[in-house]
Amino acid sequence: MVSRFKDRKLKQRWIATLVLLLPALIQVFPLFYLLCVSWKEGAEVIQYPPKLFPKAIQWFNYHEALASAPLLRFLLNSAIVASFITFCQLFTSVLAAYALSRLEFKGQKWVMALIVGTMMIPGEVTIIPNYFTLASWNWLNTYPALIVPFSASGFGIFFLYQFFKTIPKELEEAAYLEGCSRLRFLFKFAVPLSLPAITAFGIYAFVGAWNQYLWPLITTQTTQMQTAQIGIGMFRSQNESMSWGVIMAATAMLISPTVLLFIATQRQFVKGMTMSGIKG
Amino acid sequence: MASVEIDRVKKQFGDIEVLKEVSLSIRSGEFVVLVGPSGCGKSTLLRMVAGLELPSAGNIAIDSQDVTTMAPKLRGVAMVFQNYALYPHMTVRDNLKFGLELAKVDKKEIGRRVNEAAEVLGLSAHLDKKPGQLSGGQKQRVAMGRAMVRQPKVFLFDEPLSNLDAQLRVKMRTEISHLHRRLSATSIYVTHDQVEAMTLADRIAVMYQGKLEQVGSPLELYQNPKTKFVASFIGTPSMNFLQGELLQSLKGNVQASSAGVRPEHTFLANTGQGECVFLGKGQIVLVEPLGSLAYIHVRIHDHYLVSELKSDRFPHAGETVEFMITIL
Repeated sequence: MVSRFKDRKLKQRWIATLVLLLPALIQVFPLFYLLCVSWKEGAEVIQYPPKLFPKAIQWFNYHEALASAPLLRFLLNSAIVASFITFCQLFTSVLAAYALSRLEFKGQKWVMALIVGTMMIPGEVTIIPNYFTLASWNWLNTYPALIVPFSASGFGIFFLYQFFKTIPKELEEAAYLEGCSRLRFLFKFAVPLSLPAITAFGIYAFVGAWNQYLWPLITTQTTQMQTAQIGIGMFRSQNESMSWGVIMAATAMLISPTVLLFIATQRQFVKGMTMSGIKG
Repeated sequence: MASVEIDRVKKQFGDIEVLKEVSLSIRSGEFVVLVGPSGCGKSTLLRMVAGLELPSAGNIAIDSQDVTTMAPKLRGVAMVFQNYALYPHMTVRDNLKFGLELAKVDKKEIGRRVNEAAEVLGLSAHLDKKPGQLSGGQKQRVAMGRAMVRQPKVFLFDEPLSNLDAQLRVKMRTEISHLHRRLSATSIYVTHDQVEAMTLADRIAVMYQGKLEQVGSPLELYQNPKTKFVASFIGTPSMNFLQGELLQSLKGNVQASSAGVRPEHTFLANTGQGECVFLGKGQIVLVEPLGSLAYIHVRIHDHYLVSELKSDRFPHAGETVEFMITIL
């Protein structure tokens, strides 16, 4: 009886794995194809009929990409901008979410509704007013121009708000009775207990910031300030005659930090997303 | 040890008045249980003593010092919560010493108090475990230990046993009782379980609809309830109230509009002792055997009564029996 039950469980697991494998392959295939092309020689890339795997792994395209554009600078800019945006969004979201979920004050519901409401506004709507504001401050083509408009996130506040709400009130009261201040409770209890959600949101914020295209495109003019995504676009437009292999190599280098970040933290990311009840 | 003085305390949440001028004096070292049905205001009253809620009116004093608006940490109280409220990411040791570290108690002293509390509560082997690795009873002991190490003037217990199974509840009840005798600390204990109240309390304060119905020793409340609510709330099974035809069967013995009869004061005909009165013939609708005794649910003239019978043979459901009651 027990073994039949185990067999059935195992069978169900296999079916579930196979069903999930298909969308996973569809998602991963472009990335895999990108890597394969980046490892091919020039003639191999355009051969017909096309072949998926390279004859041999070649690093030539990577050397070419690094030599023809300041990729490391783009990577550095993206890393600086994405890290600062992530830090700022985490900081503001943690404080705002805690205040909205734990403190009682007048207009609390309205403030929350307003914050949730910002999630309904498409990012493009704010581009022009933000551009003029930053231009009037002479901030264009600077790091603050890339960071400050994204230092708070309605989604982040909403996401962490839901998580903080699940922390039992008695835990806070017990700490409060022992002489713990609200701020200490936030950093000593609420943050450690919400680490999966905070990590998940951190990765989400970092990837979002890393992948930004439109805003850096209109606010930066020099390669000293341009980010990886602009770099890829620029790379293509300036090197139309260039081999796809080189473009794919450049792309592989520019997306590698976010892919590695996700691989390193995927357990926390999935835990945070599933615990909060929000699915991407 | 400290006395607690609750003086005409009121609490309103919006339009709802949850506490209506409650006054209660608790002597130093006394174990007082606040008991009552859900929503009667007992937890609110406890939370006001703790400083987690502010009274809408009235005063609270601990050790003759007015603490009505004082911050909880300055009141010298420690609270044990219903769901333990242990810090899940900290070890038992860290849970126990957290409050002491905040109070900047000397490290050696912290170690001494933590070890002593762990020994008393049988937690020495679990000090490096996290709460998630403990059983319900162990978690509750940690919660008590956390209160103990702070050496508070007043211990507050908010339904601390209601998350435990019946067997463990009895065990923990005994442990709380031993602990109280050992520490002789002033304790206020909230529960809706009147058995807990009866077994633990020096005095019980029965609350109903935001008011104190009666305060007294467990036996005083059981034997001389001042209100119908106290009479019905204290005692298991609840007291029967005789009205209408049943009351008439008592004839000259009772003048009131209803009369209360404890289940243990009812008998099958001819088995009673002392002065008995015939109540009537009734049909047994349910028998709940508990070993040496049974609760018999009887219908007499469309009234339902519960009787506690001690016997080695109990009647069966559906039987018609004659019932008598003892007149005290």
